[in-house]
Amino acid sequence: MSSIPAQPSDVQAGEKRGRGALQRLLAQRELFIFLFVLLIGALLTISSKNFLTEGNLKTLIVGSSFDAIVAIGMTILLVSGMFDLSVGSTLALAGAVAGYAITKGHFGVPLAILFGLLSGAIVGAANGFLVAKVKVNALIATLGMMQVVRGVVFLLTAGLGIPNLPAGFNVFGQGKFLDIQYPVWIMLVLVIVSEVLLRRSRYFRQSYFVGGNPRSARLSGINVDNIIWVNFILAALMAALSGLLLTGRFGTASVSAGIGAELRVISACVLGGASLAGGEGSILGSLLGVILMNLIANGLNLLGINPYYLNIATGGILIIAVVIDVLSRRNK
Amino acid sequence: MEDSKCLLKIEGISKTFPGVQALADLSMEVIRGEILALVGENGAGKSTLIKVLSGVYKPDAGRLLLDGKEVVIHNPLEAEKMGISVVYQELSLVPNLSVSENVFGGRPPTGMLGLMDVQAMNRGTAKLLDEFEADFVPSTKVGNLSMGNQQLVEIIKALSANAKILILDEPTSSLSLQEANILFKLLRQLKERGITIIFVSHHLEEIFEISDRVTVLRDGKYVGTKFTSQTNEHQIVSMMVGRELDEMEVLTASQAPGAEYLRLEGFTRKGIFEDVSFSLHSGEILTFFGLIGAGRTEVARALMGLDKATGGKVFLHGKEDHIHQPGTAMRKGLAYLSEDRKSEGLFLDKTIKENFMAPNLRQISPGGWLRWNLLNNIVEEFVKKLEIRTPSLDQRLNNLSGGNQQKVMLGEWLATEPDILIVDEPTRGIDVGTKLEIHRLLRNLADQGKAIMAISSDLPETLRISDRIAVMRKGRLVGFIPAAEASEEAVMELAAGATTGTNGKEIE
Repeated sequence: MSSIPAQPSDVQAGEKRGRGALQRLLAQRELFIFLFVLLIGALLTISSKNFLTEGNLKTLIVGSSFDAIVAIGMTILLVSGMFDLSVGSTLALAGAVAGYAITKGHFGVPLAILFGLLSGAIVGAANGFLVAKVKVNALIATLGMMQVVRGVVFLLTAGLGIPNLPAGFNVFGQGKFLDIQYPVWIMLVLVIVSEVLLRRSRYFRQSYFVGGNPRSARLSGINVDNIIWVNFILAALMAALSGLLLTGRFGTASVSAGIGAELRVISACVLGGASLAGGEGSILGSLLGVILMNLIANGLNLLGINPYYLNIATGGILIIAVVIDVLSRRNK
Repeated sequence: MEDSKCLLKIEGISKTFPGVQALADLSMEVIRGEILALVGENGAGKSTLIKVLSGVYKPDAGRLLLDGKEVVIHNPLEAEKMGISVVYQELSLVPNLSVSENVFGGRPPTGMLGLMDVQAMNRGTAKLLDEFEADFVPSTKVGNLSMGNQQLVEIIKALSANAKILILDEPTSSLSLQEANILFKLLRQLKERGITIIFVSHHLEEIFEISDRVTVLRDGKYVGTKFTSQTNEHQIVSMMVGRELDEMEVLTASQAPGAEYLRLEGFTRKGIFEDVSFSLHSGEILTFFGLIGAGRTEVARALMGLDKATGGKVFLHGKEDHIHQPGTAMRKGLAYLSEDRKSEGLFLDKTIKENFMAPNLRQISPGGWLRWNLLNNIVEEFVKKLEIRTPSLDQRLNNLSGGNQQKVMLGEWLATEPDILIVDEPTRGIDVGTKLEIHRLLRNLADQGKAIMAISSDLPETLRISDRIAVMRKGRLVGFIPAAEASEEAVMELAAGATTGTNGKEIE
């Protein structure tokens, strides 16, 4: 498995010795999961004539964008050895805050969006403070935050959601450029920017060391606590952005938006090569993980399979991915 | 010795670990009702012997005779049943449970329905606590007790299992002087009750205070046993050190030390080390020697800003300075190579290149963007300079030997171009060849003008590389010995407390 994705050829060269072809393939997680996406795509093309159509593919890619944006922040967090269970609630919070600001506060759309992002940043800062400074376990801190924030969403929306948002807001979720919706473009730009940052910038590279071994990282002069804190804020900001776009897409701030998103996104990131132990992962891998999860949901839908099987399929795939991860580690 | 007097007879015990002969054909006897002190340098085999007696390790050869009968001990529970209990250096109590729950551990008295009889537990514990005049009650949570009282609980736990032989592994290492005195009183009480005690300690004054006989181990072998009243500290130290002096030549400085790079005045971290003052010069290797727990690593950690110092001043290049974080220390030209390279220092599942990247991120990313060619230049330079043996620069550290891992750590820190290099146990757990290489390397670095603070528990190493030796004992710097006047005996006596030392003043 490529622990740090830059110079993949070098990483591979160092490991060729004494390893089977399959193991080498597993070590290049992005390639492996890409092939897996192609395989499932091919199977679906054969089994359903509705799969390889412009409409279906566009729905698939738009549908993936919202999780993919959340996955960007989650990947950076996972690389630094942390994770955030509150992203689903944060996603809903940003939409609810923006909707509330527009309908109850009569603020303009730009300010409403700013408030939505700000609400995310505050949640992230609180998570980061609890984990990095107070040293609360990330599982507990973000599990608690997940429920607190969901409660705030219920309060803001009176438990019903905020419908009928203005077109000026909805355009971010519904507008199109080159016949493809804005969320897709925004997601693509963010994926590229964050992938480059994670590979090439000094600042983001520190996260790999923080996640790899925080004690060694600290001795190497890396400010471990601050990096973890910043990464929690980034993860929450990405969730908030995703929430705003999703709210715009439906024109409604939904109470139940983002429920289950945290586990879906973490699963996708792990599928894409990120490790819960930290120090590993790439944005590209996580994006492919998100696409794979959405592809499976899409396929079950097209094939008319009972949607209750979806949980079984995605959960099963996650377990398989982790088993592969454990096995490839053991072979190291 | 008459057989009736001999409680435990150890005959020809050997134990080998990969690459190390921990015990070699060791034979010794423990007399019924005595306090036997077991001493030896770090690595002499004391801990291994204890683990053999308590059934943690199975010896490769030899036999144990308890009360004249041969016994085979498979696990600690069996040892306990035979009456052998061990109180380890790191206490094995559960801090969240009460004193009585800890004392009864895995065998609580049960009442109706097989439920735990808390009342009976508390009564039994209270009786024992009373006997030892403890000032706490059975329902107290162990985590709320002082270290000394926790140790008492551990001992009571052993007694409640009807121990005949009580083994204490460096019991005073985490105790204050006052607590240690209470412990000694307790040990004398136990002796009066006929319990046999094996007492492992590094501190000679304690041994002479408490023990009846002293047994010395060295390099896994039995050296000898003396009646405490018929020997002296000097004799014990020479038995401990006694190896052929010296298969290795001493590396001497090629020039006199230069400018002062670092000076500490009254450096203190309360309760850990106190009033440490020294100066370190360019071109010099100053080695801190002491027994484990003397506070040497803690001084280095506080200096690097890893832990907080509570008092004293730090001067870098003659000017007072404040370091609160390792990052600041790095930028000011300090480098610290931890004693525990695996968990604090290296990234074992990352490659050599990635490891070099960690402390050198700044150098290889002008303007904030990583430049791989800059990294590659650095890695190639130091891999060649330090003769790191690896098939590729992308090799993961897991696949390198301990010696090569240590060289990677040294290399990545040298690449940060420090003035002051702090190396903590620089050759722990690595082969002799690489060890000698690293010694020569440190000498060369000093000759090139670096100021080197070494921390070592390896006496021959200390004598071989140092220009001066600073000896610490129980959190205090007790003296300096210039290389020219250093001998194993002199250093060991100062470290173990056989000589009074000079309380931080230079002997010159």
